Amino acid sequence: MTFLLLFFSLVAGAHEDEFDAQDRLMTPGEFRLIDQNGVSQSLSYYNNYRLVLLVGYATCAGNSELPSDFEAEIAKREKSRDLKLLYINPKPETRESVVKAAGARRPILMDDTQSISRSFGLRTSGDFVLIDMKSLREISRGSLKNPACLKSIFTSQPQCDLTSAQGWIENLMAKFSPSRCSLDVKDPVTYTYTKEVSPVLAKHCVSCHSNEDFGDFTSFEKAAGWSAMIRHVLRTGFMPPGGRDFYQGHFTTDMDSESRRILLEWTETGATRGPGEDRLATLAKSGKFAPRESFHKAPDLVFKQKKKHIIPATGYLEYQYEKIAGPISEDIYFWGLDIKLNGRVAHHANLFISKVPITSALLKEKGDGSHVIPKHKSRKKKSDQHGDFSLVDESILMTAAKGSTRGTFLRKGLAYLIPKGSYLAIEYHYTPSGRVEENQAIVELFTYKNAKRENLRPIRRMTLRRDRFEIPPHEANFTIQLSAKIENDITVLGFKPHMHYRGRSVKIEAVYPDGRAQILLSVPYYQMKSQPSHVLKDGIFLPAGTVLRTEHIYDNSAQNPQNPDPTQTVPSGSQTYSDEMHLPRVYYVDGQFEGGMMRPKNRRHVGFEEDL
Amino acid sequence: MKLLIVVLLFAGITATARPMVPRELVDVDGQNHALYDSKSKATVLIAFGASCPMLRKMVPLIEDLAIKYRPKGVRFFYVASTLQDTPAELLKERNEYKLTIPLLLDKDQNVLADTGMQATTETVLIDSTTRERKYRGAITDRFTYEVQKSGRSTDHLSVALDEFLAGREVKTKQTNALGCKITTKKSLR
Repeated sequence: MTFLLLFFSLVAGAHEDEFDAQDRLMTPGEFRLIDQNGVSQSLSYYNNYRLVLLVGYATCAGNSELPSDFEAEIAKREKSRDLKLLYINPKPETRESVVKAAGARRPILMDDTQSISRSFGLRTSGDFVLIDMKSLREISRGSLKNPACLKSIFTSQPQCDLTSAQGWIENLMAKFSPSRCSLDVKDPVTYTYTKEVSPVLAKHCVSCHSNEDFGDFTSFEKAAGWSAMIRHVLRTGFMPPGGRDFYQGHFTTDMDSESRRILLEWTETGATRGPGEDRLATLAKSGKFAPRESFHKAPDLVFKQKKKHIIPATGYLEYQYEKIAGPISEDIYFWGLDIKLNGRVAHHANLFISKVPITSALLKEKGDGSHVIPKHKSRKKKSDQHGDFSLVDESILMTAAKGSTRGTFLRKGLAYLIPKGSYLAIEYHYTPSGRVEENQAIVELFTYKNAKRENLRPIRRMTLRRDRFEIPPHEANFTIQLSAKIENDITVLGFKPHMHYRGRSVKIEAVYPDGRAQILLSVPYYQMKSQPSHVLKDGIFLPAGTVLRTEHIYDNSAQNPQNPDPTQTVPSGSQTYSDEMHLPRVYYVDGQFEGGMMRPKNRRHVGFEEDL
Repeated sequence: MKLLIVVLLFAGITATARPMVPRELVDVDGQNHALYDSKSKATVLIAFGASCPMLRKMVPLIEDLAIKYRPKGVRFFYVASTLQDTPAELLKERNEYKLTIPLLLDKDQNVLADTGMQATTETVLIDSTTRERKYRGAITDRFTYEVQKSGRSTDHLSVALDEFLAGREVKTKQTNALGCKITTKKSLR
């Protein structure tokens, strides 16, 4: 019998080569979660360590801390980049309770959908998986409760093996008996596309994912085909775009953990269709996902860019500036703005108001022949150890970007203003798409024609602009914190923070005159490739005397996957590859304002769930 | 008996080669292609799918690799195993991005299962004679989802091809490829 078993195992083995053997040990791989301190953490960020140890964690009684000997050994190995310990907490516990129980020192990643813990097989506190970071393969798994398994972490043995024991572990084990508790990781629910999934896609995804440029999710066949990628982008935090911390504040594009959980569990349980009509497909066939024209009446003013831009298939392109209109003959108050452009190549396009004609003389030449964005008028200039900064009003009306908004439709009574005598222009940053492309933008305005000017509330955009800073090579945590006092009552309606490829996170906080502090916006996973506007569901009133505090963190290390070159010193400037910017932009209106900024039926912000 | 067991175990552990199954696939123009032609030295397969921004950005690089290595006896094929792409959509993608490498249809995902590719842009280098995999993974580490790196990078496929064509062992056999994840039929209910 033994012989037969071995023979069969030999036959099976003969059909498995080293690639197959590696596949068998493959872990679920990359993921991204926010820890108890609001910091975004990803597995791949630690690929400069030999090993990562994932440990299931929950604040059950008596189990909040691991033994100090264990911590000391881990700390030693973390210092030498041998091993990084990451705790994962899939229990629905608040961050505050985790900080209270376990402190803030060691990151505990909050797995709000339970998808990460389940895929790595973490079911009980103390369950661990040891991952080789070069191959992303599993080396061992077990429980810290089991001394043999604990040893396997430090000896990197593939099984829990007592023979290669180390003295300190035995001493440790003598006093180490943590209580274990269930992490309450639930089995995935078999959601169906027709019942639960298509409404989530309609609400959060298809306003972009309805065409061939971004992947089309507007039918069961398409969505199921993309399901592995849907799962991947949700687990890695690439989607939903913007990298905002949903734990802080209420925004129009919030995607709650329930919606993410439905999509993840659907992909996990075989992406089933379910009975009934494919209503998303029906909507698509009826033209609902066609360009904006079907949702709004014809624009009142249309400006077409005169010069057509040809964008090559590959290479790196300098910023380009194009006049769109002007001088404007009378003040234009408008509530709607749409830009039609080639989204495949327009990495971003800033539509801005200029008081002078857009000519080459306006664009300040840098030494290397590149251009600097026209300076904004400074209100008040301050200085600190890094250089000057100022609270400025911005002239940019809208930033159209890849995968981001191309239209803005304001709530009734709110208006943008283009003053008489000024010019409209676009600053382009193109990134080639792999084939030769053309771009010739069309700007459409929906104006207030008969409204009384005094009844309109102009939207303003301000920022705490920082100039003259320099990020050293390989610096992983370059932090700029600024603050400025708001002199008049305002209502904040939204944010559009801006950095370049070294940008890691943004936080904007209000400290009210009574001393109370409130985080208005937290973007722990800033991504250069997608910089949506973060629009508040309801405006936040800041009385005069409130201090606006901002924190931007830059990561110029090789661990930042966005970083084009960690060996470079990065100065402040406009070039995305070589320079950095510090612009924590804030949309606001003067005085008090009830409600949010956008029209309820703004296609780019609401989605199509009402149509289902 | 014990000796026999040891010998069998050893034989099982050292069995390292699993040849790819010989297959003939149809391209988007309806032409048949035998994947592993013994007249050539190597076959390079690249997992393909429509609407994948990262793959689109890499197309010029991939096409250049084919131009460089074809004269050295290397055949290149894009393999579309994506469930969501129709032949018409793939044909449109082929025409829009001016692909010269044949774009093969793998709707049954046999090649995907055989090679173990998981995402578009992932590549497999196969010895045409033995049909064994020599390299699997990323074409280059120059591209990530976020950005095209301007600093130092490794073009993994070129390195593997140069080593293989020079008769040397491919040192780095596997890397992790980024791209658009491919849903497998077996993962669906």
